[in-house]
Amino acid sequence: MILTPAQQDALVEIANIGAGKAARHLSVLLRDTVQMNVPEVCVGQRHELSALLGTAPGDLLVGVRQAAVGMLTAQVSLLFHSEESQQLVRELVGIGLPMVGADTRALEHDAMTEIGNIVVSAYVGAFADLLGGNIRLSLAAYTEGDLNDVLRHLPDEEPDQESFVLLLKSHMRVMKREVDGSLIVIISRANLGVLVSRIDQWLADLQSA
Amino acid sequence: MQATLSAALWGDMVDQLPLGVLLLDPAGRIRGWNDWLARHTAIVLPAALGKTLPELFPGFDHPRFAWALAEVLATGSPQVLSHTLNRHVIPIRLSVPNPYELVLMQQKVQITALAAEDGTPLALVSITDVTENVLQAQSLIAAARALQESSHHDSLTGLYNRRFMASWLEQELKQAQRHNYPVSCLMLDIDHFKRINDTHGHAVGDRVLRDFAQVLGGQLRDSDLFVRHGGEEFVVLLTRCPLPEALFRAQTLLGALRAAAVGTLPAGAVTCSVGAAVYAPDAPCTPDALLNQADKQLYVAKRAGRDRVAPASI
Repeated sequence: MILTPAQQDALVEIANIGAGKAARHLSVLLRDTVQMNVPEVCVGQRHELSALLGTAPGDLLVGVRQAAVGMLTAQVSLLFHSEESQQLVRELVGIGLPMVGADTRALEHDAMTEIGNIVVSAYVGAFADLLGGNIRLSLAAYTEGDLNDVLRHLPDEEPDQESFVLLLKSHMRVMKREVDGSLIVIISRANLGVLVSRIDQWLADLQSA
Repeated sequence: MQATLSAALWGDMVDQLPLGVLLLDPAGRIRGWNDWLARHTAIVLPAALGKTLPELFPGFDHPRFAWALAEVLATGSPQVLSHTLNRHVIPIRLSVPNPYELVLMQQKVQITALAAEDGTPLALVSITDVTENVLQAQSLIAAARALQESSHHDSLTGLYNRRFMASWLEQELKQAQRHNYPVSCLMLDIDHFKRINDTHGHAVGDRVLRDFAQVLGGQLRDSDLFVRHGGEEFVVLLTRCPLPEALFRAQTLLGALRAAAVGTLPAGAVTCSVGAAVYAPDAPCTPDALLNQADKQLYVAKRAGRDRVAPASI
């Protein structure tokens, strides 16, 4: 499925509103100025995810996943890739050194889960607010491993129902570091169709306003 | 046939859970409060029902909790509040002293949505006591933090030190190449610092170093990195900054220094020389090469009479 430039622009705009909201909440929580934006949104088939993310086999990813149900029915994950991003998350949560034991790792996971929960809620909230409709999220779950590991919880693709991935590249600036993460939305063709028709409706409403 | 559990039995179960459970309505009023909370807060159920958390705990002000609660009530989606980022939500004093001076119970909190029988949205707040885990981790983290702090900052000026710069600059130059932006490097050296030390003593010398850091630090942006490189030598790293802009910024630093009383010395008595170099992503170099290039230019500025920037222009 290919999005039109107007649909792409709409996605970038909605995602940036979500990113702004997430940054405001993270700034309060982390007591540091956090800036977030989404420079690019792209869509592809699920099997293209690795290429879209730019990950090599065996690259370690860390993230948080939540299932969304409602106007947007999809699996939503916030993933940080690359070593420096993980290092930053550790600095953010105030540990900042190689993990020294199982207890500190658990604390780091909890903090990462909360940060991911805030970001996913803010993005998904922006979709619900602007496009109209309810979206409910499941409890946030921490995930780490290579791309196969972090996608392991997903059901296999139905042969007659290919699934797509929306990739919202997210850029974060905090504590003198630039961090790139990605919000990935894994969504069936039918549910992507629902989302795209909502975007078309929103664009039409904006035109006629 | 399966037996249905009565509401009373469910209530008993909630009371026996090894965690705090409370129910809040959209006005923030307490509609449920289990035994665990009653035991740990010494506030019994009848005293809690209908009250808000600020009414029960004067001074209760938790913006993250307030936002999470509003989010759960508005969207029906759950929120988690980690111990690491929040420490606690409900202030519960610890009864047993501990070696790390923790006064309040450390908590992990989860908020999920429920609906009352009349459809009113409610928030179910569950509170897990993680104090034991925190105490076990505390000593390790405290030791690690102290080590990290001392290994990242210069103790006299509070600026970042050379060791921190080395790891930061390596990552920064990788990012600069990936995202195609320049990074400028200014190497600064206080002019005639030895003479200041010899004439006025080391105490004044130390104060000059501290004030120098403060005066120049006031001119820098959040995205700049200011480092004490050693002795009276400092480095300023300017991200996304091409060389002409870096030279202009260096002149601004020199101007601010000339106008300031530094240490116990009058304005104009302390000056510095600056060597500038740039990392260009189309001609990448190592962090050491960038610093060496700036150092060579610093030498040029010193030879040309001090209190100036080299190169003078490009």
